[in-house]
Amino acid sequence: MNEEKPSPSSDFQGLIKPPSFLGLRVDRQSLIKHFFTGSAAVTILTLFLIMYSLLKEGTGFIPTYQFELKVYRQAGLEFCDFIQKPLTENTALLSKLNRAVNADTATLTQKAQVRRDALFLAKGRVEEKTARLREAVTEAVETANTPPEKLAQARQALNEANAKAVGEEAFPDVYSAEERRQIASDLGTLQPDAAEPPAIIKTLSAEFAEQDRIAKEKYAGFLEAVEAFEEATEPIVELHDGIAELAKSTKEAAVQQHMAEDAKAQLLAAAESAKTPEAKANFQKEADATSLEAIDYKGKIEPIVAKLPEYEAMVPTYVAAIKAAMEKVPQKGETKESTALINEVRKQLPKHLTHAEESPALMKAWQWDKPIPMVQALTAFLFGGDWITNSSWQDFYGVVPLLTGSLLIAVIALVIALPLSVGAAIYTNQFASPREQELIKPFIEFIQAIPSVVLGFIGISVVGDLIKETSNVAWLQWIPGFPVQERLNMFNAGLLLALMAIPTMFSLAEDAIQNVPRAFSEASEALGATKLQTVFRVIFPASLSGVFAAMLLGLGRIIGETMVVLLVAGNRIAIPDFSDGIGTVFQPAHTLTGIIAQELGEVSKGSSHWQALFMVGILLFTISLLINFVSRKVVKRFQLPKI
Amino acid sequence: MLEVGLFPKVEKPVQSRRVKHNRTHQHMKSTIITSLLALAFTAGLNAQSVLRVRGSDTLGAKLVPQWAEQFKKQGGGVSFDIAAEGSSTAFTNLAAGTAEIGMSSRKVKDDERTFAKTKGVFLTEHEVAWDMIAVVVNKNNPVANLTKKQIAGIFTGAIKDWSEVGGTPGPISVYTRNTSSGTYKDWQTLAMKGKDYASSSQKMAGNEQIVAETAGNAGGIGYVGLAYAHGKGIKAISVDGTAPTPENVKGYAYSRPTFFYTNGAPQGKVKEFIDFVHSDAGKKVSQLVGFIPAK
Amino acid sequence: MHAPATSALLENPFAKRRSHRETYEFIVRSVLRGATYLILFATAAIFLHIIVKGSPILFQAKAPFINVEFLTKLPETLHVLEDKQGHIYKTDPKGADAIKHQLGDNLRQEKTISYSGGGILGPIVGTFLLVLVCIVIALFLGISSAIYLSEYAKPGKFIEWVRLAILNLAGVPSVVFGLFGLGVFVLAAPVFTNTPLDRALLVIPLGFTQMSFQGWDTSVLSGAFTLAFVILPVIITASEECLRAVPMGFRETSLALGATRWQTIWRSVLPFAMPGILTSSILGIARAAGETAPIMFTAALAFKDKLPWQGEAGFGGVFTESVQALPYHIYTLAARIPQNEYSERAQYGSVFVFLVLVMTLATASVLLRRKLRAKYKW
Repeated sequence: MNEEKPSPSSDFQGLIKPPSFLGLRVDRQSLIKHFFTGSAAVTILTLFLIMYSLLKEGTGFIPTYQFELKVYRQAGLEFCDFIQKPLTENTALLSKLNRAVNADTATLTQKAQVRRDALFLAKGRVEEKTARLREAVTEAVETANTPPEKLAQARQALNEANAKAVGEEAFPDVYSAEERRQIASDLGTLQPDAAEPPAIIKTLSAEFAEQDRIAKEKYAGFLEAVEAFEEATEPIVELHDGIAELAKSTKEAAVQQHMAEDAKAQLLAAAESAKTPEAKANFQKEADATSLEAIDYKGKIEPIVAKLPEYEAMVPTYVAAIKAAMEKVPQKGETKESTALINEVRKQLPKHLTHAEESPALMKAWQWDKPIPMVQALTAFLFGGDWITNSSWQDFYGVVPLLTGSLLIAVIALVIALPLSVGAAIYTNQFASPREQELIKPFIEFIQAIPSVVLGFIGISVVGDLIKETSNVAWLQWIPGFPVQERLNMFNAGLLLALMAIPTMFSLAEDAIQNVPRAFSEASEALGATKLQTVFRVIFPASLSGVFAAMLLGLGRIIGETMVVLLVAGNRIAIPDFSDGIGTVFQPAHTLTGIIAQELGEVSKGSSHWQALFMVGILLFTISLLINFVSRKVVKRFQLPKI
Repeated sequence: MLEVGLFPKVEKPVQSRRVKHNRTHQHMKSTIITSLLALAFTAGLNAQSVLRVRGSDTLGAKLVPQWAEQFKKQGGGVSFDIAAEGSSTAFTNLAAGTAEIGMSSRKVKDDERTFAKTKGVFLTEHEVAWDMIAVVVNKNNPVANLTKKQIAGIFTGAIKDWSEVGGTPGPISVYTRNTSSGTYKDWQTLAMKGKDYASSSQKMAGNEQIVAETAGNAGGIGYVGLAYAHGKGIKAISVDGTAPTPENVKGYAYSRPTFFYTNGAPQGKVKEFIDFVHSDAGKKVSQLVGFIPAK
Repeated sequence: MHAPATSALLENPFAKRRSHRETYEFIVRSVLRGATYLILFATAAIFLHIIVKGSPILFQAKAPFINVEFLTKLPETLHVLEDKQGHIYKTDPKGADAIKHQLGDNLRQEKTISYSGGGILGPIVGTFLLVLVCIVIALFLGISSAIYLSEYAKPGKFIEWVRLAILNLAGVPSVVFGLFGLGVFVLAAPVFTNTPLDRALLVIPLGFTQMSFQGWDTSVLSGAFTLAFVILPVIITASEECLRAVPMGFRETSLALGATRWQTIWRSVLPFAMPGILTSSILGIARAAGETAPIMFTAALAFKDKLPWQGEAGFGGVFTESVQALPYHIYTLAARIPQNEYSERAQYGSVFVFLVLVMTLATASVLLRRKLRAKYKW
């Protein structure tokens, strides 16, 4: 700035003709003006640069992904997935049947199991507490010519520690007094070099084995049915694995060839510009060594498709086997859980069987050389339900799980933050005494300065455990989703993000209320309305557009926030299971911002994964522009008259 | 002015195989100048040289920093710059010339090798230690042994409840490493026959985070390098009856070698460091941290 | 339901009974007040938690009352050794060797916790450098833009575009700024060099050297530029407000005396607006210091055993080296190491120092602004 500062003597001249500046005959004042105009233009430029840098890396994604999807189809991986789909459904149903049969057998084995397991856990804890002394004994035993009295001393010390540790154990109420005594004595004399496990453990293990045998006998029919259910898939699995192997090798060859093409091009370019002849020869040799054999997709797909009739023949057998197995499954389980699970399976079974029966027809209609249009790569990104990366099978970049995670967390945060911040804004502006206002306003402004990574740390170290402990409180079990299994979940993230969004929303909402013309409230009061009526029937409705804009900007802040969700949301890349109702909020999720922060540092530049992350960036950028746009429109549309 | 990555590393000899196509000539010129400079200030510059080590979290979080510390104490005269973000980053950094050593818990993939070659980087492999991947569960989980089939079922999402594998009924929470980790990929090959992870699995930043979450969740299960299997609140379970202990390295289902990668044959400080790793002092460090020294 | 003040006195028999409406009003007001104080309470609880856990790490009862080591040492691995008698030693790598030597066979086990030993000098220095460079860039650009907006601009399409850009820039998620910084500063910004990299977008020969658009790598400069654009909207808005607060009369007087537009701005407007601009931009500094996502891919490193000027580049490394930064360090501590009694020192210590730093800046900004407002009332 200093060099543009004019010297006093030049001022006079400046009035007559443009003084020379850096040897140029231009008006210095207009030059200065242009400098400042240019600085202001930097803001616009930055916005365009952001768009440019995102688009530059991101747009390459569409053709790359299109190529990958093309290979997915041409190599026959897509074909295999037609078979995989019913298989996956089968495992899901099988898991339920397994749980059902286990719930039933547990009626007989549970008691013995608890008795055995509690003892094992206690033994583990005792051993852990006395680990140091156990090692001392082992060392004494293993070292040759340890004096016997020293060994005895070590054993004695260990026994004392054992006894103390056993004394600290709180055993569940499943043992008789006699058993307790035996446990205390057996665990109290645990020695690391004992040849056999303590007698009591043997007894209890035998007891469990016996109960297990009885249970297996009693539910033999059910167990057999479940086994038959599982076995029904075996020939199909075998067939699938066989052709999957073929498809995968084709795919690998295709990827290799694609890489080789790039490599060859680069090596040739390098050879072209190499300065020394030997370097050139070297590159040329490398380039020649890279063979470029076109992949014979047609030839490779044939043995895969040839398996179709075989598969088609398997399907009716499979359906029959499943139906037969289900016949043997009891109509009603012994326990409530098992009945519920069996009913679920029965309900889902027809759909599964139709899927299985329809799959050969779909596979017949499938064509390996059907082209994949460009648009499909984009729609697969925007509406795809799987984000699977670094897979040994096939990478998918579908943004839906991330988007739902981001949105759901934002909704949680808004539901918490909106009433609080609007309530606080109304209170502070309309009811609080001036002294209270002096306290509240700067305090809430202060929250804004808390760095998000600090809140994320609090989420990991404090809030997560707090939520989990609260959810285990007996009289709170009516709350959906309780008890909570994961301490890192969407609710935890939403809670912290709400705190982050409150200052923005509070100050904007308060401004909106402040901006309602005095005449409104005066008129209302003159008509005899109480304070409350004035606030809720006149002032608040008049400020509604401002409050709405506050909400939108708060939403923008929440969706764009990275560190809290990265640390706290739990990083599960799946569309949440909404069957839990409100309890869904206690599931973990991954987000648009989180995935960029977590994965970008680790992928190689220019790969499809890298480009996909920039596409996520474009999506985020678009969302933020959209939110800004809508909030401006709202404020403009509902502007209050100036009075 | 800014000259980022202008000069090649001083300890690299002139005939380094790291060829920068296009501008070999200028490159040669600057190399000669730097070599002259290096001659003049050998002592001073040597004391300052930095080994940039990038890659696997399994190696980079514990083992390599301790090797580095020990190496420096033995008068290595080199400083280390270690970042452990996952094995994939070993190869991207080596290819970009931003690392001297890449740590990896898996073998280099063909496409990574080819990619590096196009950048004039020729990857050389050094086996440095064996690692066992332990399956960990919450300390209070009564399950002490799982079969390979059950483990595959759990991680692919086919098995969803502990009661299916003889535990206390309750949903299973699966914790995995993040996708760029070599362990993520190795586990897929070793334990899951290359199948995809359950979509309900949670991707954690590192071994320690898996330990922390498993310790805090009675229904949690995860896999970590052996060095991390004795954390607070967790226990390592046996697989097909074999416990993950160093004695069982041959019989255990999930053991794997870990590697260093360098550009061409190692030279100078890089060579010294790798030699140190294979020395008795280096092997002792591996054992202490919970790895099994390479033969 | 009576107000507490009256219940203490003898009840006034003639007082009007509180009507249903009044009770209703009282309840609604209490609910609103409850919402307000819930926010304050939650915030206070977080602060208290960090202060209670963190302050014992930074402060000590003995002189010099501050844990100097924590502020002046680089982060290092914490070694925890246990001997066969159950004694526990916490120490650094060097100390671990000495103790191991001393214990010999008596050593039972050794645990190491990354990043948990030593101090946090590296992150502090890194954050300081990033913020310093960032604020120079942001102030220069921000004040220039604000001068345009308040002194030169005439209503029209251009100024509308600028305002729209500022508004939208303020709403861009910080992680997108990270992508922008990576794409522009790390990978594409111009560098003068004789040996351009292959990845350079464009190489312009200049005779004596070449200008290569190959980026600045992950470095302080890349990170600071990225951060500067994150806080630019804040700085522009605050500066414009301060410039506009200078009364029109100042400008009119100056112009009437024959001063040029620039002289007017330089001599009669800026000096009066500057204190306000600087204090408001402290809030921008606090924001820049607190951001993590923009520096993740542009400047920050999880671990480095040297300060930026100790590297090969010498003092130039202050701009060209990647650094540790406090927010990223906290992220590493939160996500990469276990939460236990050994790591707590580093975790809460860093969080506490960081929070004190950011909060001091924020408080200073608020207080100074209030003082200035009282001083310059025209």
